[in-house]
Amino acid sequence: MKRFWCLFFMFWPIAAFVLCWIAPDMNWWYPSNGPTGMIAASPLGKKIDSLFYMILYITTATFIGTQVALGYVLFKGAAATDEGNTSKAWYSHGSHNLEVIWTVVPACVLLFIALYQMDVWAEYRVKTSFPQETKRGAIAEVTARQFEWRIRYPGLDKDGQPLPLMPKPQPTDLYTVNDLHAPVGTPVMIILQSGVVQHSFFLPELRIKQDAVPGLDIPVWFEADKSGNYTLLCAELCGWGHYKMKARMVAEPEDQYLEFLRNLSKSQNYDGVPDAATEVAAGE
Amino acid sequence: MRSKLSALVLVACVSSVCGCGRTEPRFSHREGLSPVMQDYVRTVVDQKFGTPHQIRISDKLPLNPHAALATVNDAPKFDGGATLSIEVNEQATEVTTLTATDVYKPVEAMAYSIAGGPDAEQFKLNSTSGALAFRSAQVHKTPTDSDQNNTYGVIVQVSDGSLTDSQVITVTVLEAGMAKKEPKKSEESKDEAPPTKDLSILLTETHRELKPGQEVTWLSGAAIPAGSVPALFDSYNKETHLLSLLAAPAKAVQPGDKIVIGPGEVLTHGRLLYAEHCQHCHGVAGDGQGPTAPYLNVRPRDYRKGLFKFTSTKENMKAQRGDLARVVEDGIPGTYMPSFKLLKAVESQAIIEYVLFLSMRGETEFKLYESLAGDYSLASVETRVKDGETEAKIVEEFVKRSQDGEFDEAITATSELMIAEWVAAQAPDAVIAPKEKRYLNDADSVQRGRELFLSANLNCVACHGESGLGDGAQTYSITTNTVTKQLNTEPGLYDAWGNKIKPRNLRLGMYRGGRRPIDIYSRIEAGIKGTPMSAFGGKMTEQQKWDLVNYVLQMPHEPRAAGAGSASPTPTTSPAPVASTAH
Repeated sequence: MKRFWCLFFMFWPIAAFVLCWIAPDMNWWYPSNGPTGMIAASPLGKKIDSLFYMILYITTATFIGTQVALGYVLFKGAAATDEGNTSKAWYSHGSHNLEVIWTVVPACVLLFIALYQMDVWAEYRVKTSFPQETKRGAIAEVTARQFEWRIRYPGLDKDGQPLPLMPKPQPTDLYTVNDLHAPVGTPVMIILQSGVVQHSFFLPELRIKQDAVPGLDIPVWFEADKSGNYTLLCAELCGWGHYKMKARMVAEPEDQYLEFLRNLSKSQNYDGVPDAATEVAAGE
Repeated sequence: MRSKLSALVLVACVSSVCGCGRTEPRFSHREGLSPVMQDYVRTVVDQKFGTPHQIRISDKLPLNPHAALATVNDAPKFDGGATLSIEVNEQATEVTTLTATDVYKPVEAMAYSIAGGPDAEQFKLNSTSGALAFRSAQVHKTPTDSDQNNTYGVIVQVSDGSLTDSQVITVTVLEAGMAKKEPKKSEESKDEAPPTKDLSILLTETHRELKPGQEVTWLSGAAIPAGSVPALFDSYNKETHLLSLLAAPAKAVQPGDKIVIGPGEVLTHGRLLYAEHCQHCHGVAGDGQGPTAPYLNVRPRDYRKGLFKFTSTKENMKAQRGDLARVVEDGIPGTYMPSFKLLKAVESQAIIEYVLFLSMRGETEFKLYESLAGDYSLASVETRVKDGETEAKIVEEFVKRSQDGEFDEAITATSELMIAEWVAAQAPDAVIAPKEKRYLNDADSVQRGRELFLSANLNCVACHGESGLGDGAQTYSITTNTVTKQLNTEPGLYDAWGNKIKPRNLRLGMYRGGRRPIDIYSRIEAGIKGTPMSAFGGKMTEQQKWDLVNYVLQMPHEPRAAGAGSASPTPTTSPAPVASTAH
């Protein structure tokens, strides 16, 4: 029986190894219903995934190592209690060297992870490290409220090109609910706000997650690799209707994106008289 | 399957929150009516609306995305009737070209065939063109027909794919030189066939799988007279287009009757979705009293008045389906009504149909209650008892009157009127259509709009305040109730549901009924239904309406001096005269 327990404890590192090995192929780690399957749909997302895998490898190796050590000790201890074995138990008051090693090694590993991920973190969260393309300004202001996402796009100028997004609402602005559109294949920035309580802007397929805090205008950038509909969720329990706070993010080529804005402008300026909606300027 | 399961789980959860295990609307308790009368109202409403499977009223509104629509097919008919006599010259092979008419199937779909007759072998028939001819030319002296009298008999048949007609043709071969007579047609018989349970139909639209037991409703025709047992669907053969009912309808089915298979399906689906998404605020009966409702300070809509605030329809008209769809899709900014944009079209349609159902059901109940309250409310009964009647007598009288059907006529009239109102609101001409397109949104127009806003004629400032902050004098005055026409006991403004409401702060840029110019125009033109915001359309010219729209849309962007509070902006010019008549 005592050797069964040795085997039992040895079984888990093997199982962990096998599960970690097959997990990516079985779609266990990531959402897989977006346009790119379970592969991250953005360059930044791929970097975040590689960080995740690196940490996964380190923790797997550590887990296997400690389990093997445990197994070794158990086996040795089991042999010592066999009939006819005359070896005596010995007492230990700890090993200073060993303690230094198991403190320094994890500290080094953590320090390595902290330093290794800094570039990705900066690219993701530090505004000065945002990609050059986002310096053109935000494409939309996304306001989370219980329980929907309200989106404000800048309006279009006379040539049908988007105006810059102003911090305060403008007469020309365009509005949608639960329907965020963005050009595909280029980094775009949005300004994230919350109207009521704390929410979290979560694009699982793009590995983007950012809390929305009342009173703060938080810039968030993302880049979708492939055209299609992505999921936009609230990832912070924000009230009873949290479950229904789901929207779509549509990544589309630049010309389709402009077409979307033009149609939005047309429908938002609709005055009830068919074929006459576009000619009136939206505002001064 | 998974989504269905999760919906069921949610239904269970929501039900447990309600403290009740039901999702079907029941009689919503009315205070002030004695139990006997409550029972009566409940019975009447349940009979009329029952479960959504048997809904009768909503059927009359045209759109129903879940049901299959069909027209009853007619049988093809040979021109010339059941028998036809033709004379042909000898040596000729062509006899005639058969023609048949069919109202609901194209002529190309007809297939002709020889079905029998003593001399069938002598003839050939082109199945598509209907050309009937002898296989070989006949000579008068040497007849080859079965009884050798130069009269050839053949029975032909025409089929439209599911129904057939046959004709007996007698061909007489004439001696050379004899004059041909016109083909002799037989009299058409007009016997009415007894009702059968199999009918040939043309399925025009089908959205869902047809299941046995679904109701089949006649939209036109007299096959199912009012009050008779509804027809139930049994099976449908795709190849022969034959639909079988579980039992034959009461009267014969006429070709051209429009039928709907499964009219209640949309409500069954809608009820499930309503329970998942809407019920926790709007309540099981659509009374706006779901378990979440007490915590919301803009109260969820109570559908039972048949009133919806933000509509595209004219003053005093009910809402269009499109208006409800817009609210479901975009939500109502500034309230707890969120956007349900990710619902599939068929899902939001089902929800809207169910909301219409609840609204009609509730309104019927309300009206019935109102018509009974005069004589039989608890208060009236009390007065009558004081005047010398006994309570038992009054109840007895009520029971007798209801059993004699004295109220039936009033009930039918009210519900017919309500249906007519709903149907009228769905018509394209119910929508507010500006006569002129929007005027240019320039500074002049905005200035004119501002003067209109401040003018004594429109008196927008009474509620919305001089700065449009929604702080007009009416908000702290004793006002007249829009429903009872009596003074309210507390100061402020009240809607038709008895909730205290605030006039919109027009400087927030938050437009509950939508921010399109047409939305603002509709609010001004027809008012907001069920609220003190009344229709101002008749007081303004078309240009003035657009000026006011432009001003309202400009207001959130107007620079206001710090510390100005709700001080009145001073117009630079004197207010323009306002037209006193409509357009």
